[in-house]
Amino acid sequence: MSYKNRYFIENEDYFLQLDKVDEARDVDGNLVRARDREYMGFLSYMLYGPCGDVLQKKISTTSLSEQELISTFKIYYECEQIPYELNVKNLPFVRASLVAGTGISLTQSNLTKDSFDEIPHVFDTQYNPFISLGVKLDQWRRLPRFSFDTGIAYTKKNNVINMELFKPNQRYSATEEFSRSSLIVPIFINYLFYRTKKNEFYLGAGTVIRTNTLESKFSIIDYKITYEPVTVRLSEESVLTYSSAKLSPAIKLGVNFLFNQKYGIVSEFQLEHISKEYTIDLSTRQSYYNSLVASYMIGFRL
Amino acid sequence: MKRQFIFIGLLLVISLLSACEQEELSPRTNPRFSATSIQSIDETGVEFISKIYDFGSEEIIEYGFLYSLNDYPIIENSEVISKVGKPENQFSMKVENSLAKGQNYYVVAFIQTSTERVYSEPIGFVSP
Repeated sequence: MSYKNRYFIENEDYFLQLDKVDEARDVDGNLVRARDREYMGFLSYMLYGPCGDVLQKKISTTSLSEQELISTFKIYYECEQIPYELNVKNLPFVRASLVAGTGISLTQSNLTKDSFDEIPHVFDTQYNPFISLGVKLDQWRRLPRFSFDTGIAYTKKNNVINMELFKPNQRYSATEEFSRSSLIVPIFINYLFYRTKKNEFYLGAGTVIRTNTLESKFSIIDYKITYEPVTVRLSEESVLTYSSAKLSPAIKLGVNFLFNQKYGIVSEFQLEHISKEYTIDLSTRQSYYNSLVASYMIGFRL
Repeated sequence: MKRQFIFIGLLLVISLLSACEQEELSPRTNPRFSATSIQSIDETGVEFISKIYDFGSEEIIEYGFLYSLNDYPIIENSEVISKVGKPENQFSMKVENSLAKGQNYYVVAFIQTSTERVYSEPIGFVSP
């Protein structure tokens, strides 16, 4: 029998707790640490019989764990040909599921502290659709409230950035059309905080690894001198750079619908903070921007 | 099932709310066009071409090319070849008999609007 990771063996009259004792003693001024595997003695005594010799070897290697104890008792009952019934639920060690999903992410950026000046800019769209395929490891036998998930997501989006910068008697404006694709690898540990009969709600914390590829399709800068005669100089230069790889902290809130069924639905809202995700380079000024990415994903758990 | 849809809806709303409004930029009014390309170059002269990306919102009065031995051609230091009015999506012009032989020239396309003159990037070439 077991209760809260403590194990007991039943005699005809009483229960004995299977235990081990770690103790430190002072012997003639020397500190002696001793580990008394008391439970091995109890097992040897209680399982004594014709199969004692076979069992001794097994008992001497038996650790104080559920699976080890079950295995030892199975040998005993099978050797003694005593019918037995295993009342321990045969739970798997962990449940592994595939999660295929799709979603959308929204990005909001802000200037880093080490940048010189804000360069006002606008992206045509802040939305990025993505597809993902992941692995979810949940229902751990020992840690049922925890789950682990990872996977890979892909997003590709055409976008346009417009910007402007004012200086005394000068105005810069620029446009860049680009295509950005990203491979995203999230790694999360989740804590199940609420469970209904069919659904589980969890909070997750982890990290997201992103690799970005930027393809510039068109880029132009207008440099205007605003005193008379007003002139504008055009130059076709790139103004936007994305970091090629980033490791970012992230948190998420999710729900695992029909968690106890073979198939289910997973829905997650995720926030990710990417430091220095992109750089704007205009008029010899470089400004770095952090991004806060909010993503919503819905997926099927298989 | 109703609760599940409510939860999905809530997550979606949170996601949408998290996208704050973007800044607004002042409108750009000038035209945009490419740097000059050399369409043809031979003993009879050099033909320049430029492609319009965006006409802008100002009235276009004149367009053409400036070429000069100076690496930064402007109206004061260059020869001009131009036409009056608004160009098509691209414009080309040929310079004949006014180039010194075997010299390094620079050329820019330009558009004169009602309020400003817009120049492309300078491009170098060697006269035939």
